[in-house]
Amino acid sequence: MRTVAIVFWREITVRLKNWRFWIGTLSFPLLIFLVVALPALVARFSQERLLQVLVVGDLPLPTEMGAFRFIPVSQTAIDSLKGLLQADDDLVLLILPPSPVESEICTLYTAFSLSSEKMENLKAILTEAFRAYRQEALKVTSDAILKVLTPPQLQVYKISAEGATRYSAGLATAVGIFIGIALFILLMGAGYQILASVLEEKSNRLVEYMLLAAEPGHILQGKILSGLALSVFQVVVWGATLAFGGGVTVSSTLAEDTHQSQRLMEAIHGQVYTVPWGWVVVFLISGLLLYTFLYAAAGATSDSVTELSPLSQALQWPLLLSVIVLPTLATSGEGPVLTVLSYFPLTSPIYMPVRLIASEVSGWEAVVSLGILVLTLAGAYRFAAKIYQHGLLLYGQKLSWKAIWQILRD
Amino acid sequence: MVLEVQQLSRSFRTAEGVVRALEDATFIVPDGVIAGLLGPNGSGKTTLMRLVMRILPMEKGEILFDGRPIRDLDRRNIGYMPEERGLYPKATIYEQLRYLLRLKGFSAEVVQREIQTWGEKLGILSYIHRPAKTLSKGMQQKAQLMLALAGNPRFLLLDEPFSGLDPINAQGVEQLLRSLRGPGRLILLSTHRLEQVDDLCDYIVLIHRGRILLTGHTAKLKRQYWDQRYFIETEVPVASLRWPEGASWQAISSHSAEVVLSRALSSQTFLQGILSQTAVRVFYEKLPTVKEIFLRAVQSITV
Repeated sequence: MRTVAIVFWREITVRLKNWRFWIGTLSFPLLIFLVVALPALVARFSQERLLQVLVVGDLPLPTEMGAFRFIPVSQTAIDSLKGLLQADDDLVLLILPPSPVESEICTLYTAFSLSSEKMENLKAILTEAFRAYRQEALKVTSDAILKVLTPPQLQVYKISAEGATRYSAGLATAVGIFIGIALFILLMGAGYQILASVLEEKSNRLVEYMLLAAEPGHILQGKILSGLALSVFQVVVWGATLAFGGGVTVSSTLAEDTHQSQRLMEAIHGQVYTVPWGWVVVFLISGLLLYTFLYAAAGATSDSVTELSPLSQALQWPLLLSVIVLPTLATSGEGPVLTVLSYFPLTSPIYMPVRLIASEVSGWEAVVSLGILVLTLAGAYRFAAKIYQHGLLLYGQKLSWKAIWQILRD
Repeated sequence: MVLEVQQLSRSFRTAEGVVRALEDATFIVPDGVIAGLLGPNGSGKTTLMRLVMRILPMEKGEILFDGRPIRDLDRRNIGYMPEERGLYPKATIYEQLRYLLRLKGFSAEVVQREIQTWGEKLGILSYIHRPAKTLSKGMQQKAQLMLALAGNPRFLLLDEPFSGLDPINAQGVEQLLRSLRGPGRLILLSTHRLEQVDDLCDYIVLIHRGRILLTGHTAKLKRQYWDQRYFIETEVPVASLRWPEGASWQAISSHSAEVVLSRALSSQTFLQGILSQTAVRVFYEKLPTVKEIFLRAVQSITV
């Protein structure tokens, strides 16, 4: 434990002194802002097609507002209208609660995925309508003021030939991209730091002294724990920046006036609270650990940063591909590819949280996916420790796949 | 402190197949000596050193210190200096000494004291707050030597301790090693500079293709490998002499030669034969150097 702590503190202090760590920490919120705000800004300044919203319910809504045209329809026509949705990509069905005073749950049926920005605008219009209706109905007494201010909840169901399933692609995509990019940047930081540190010690033959002084497993643990600790620190910094600064920036960028900005902020915070952050954090940390173990092993198989082994190069692909195909997969809804990716350990840290947010995934699915991930973690640690111990002493050469296989068989 | 290596074997599985790096290596190094581990490249020296240092798991055989398994020896009692630069280039000497010595199990107080003591002895105290990459190779080598010597270990392993050192610094290290030689401590060094081993090592271990070829006290081995070779310097040119039968000679200069006597010819008879022709200025036994022993031992198994 003492050895682990000594390695841990050494790695922490070295990394905190490195300007690359601070560049990585501070540039991520900016990157996320660009990813989130740029498409919205582009959409705001481009001509949008009007979305026809068929409305079932008594809440008075404007005939046309922003990108929406609200068309009142009869309660009895709901089933036939659902069929109509699949034929028209500019048509959605909005079912308001029977009593807008008693309930604020609205249901939206759509055959396609709405952009996050459109969802927020629709919510903002509904919030205003609910507020006005309740203020009128309740006459705004002190008891009723809380009810008046409660924003509506919009439950989205995706219509397909098999029926309607609950779905929220926009938020899921955003969180998935957040995890993907976060994992990638954390790995570029923590993983690369561990990799570089292992390589440095190997290329300078410090490893021989270190292996004499301490157990290789303890050295590896110290390095990994320090990488994890700094990653958690970065995630906290990013989360705080995005929660407090990012929301304000995004809403003020997208909103046309102060009132709309306030509404957008409420909407953003409303969405943030619906994310199962517990699962997100657990999957993020597990994913980070898994990739870090593999990166440490990769560092031990190589002999210089410029000659990284096939293993370390191969490790970047699952993450890169996950981020690239995520928007397409998330918006196309539940399917076999998404399901498989949410169980595959190298991609489940991204795709299981995506599914948890996007659709009604059972808790057991998340538990099973996490179980597979944890088992893989244990295996990856053994693998990394073995490669680390053997690869460290092989100077002037990088390990081939065949040699890696031989080490694992020994 | 006695090092006993018994039937030590180690093989490695590579893509090309199983490579036997060490095969049934057995030898003893007595207490208080400076022992030289000699062998050509790929002979198994590094594997042997790593097994002794416990950084490679043993496959077969045993390594004992004072009759007890090597795993019982406290890590702090083993000092090691690798062949190449073994320092973090960007960290200061002080930072890395503190880190690596703490890692080895020394307390912060001991580390501080050892850095002060050895820094003064090796003359690098004024450089310890500078990054390693800004120091000369000689200075870096001294910092590594500090790492090996800190804590006054009973067993010192030095891999090519003189490489990168200029003659003055090399002499300084040699003197330091001589001063450390004594009962209760064993120094094992590997070097390709065999002339240094001749001067410094009082015990040698010769290894070739994973097998121990030769071990023993340097003086005894020199006597064992001596081929009745003498050096002689005479008043008259050596080319004008009548050399006794059984003496084969080679001129070193006009008045000096190296001569090898056959078993039938004693040195007394030979000298009498020469003295009857000329005065002899110098005459002495020319013992083989460690380099010559090394080459002859390797040749004897390759022929």
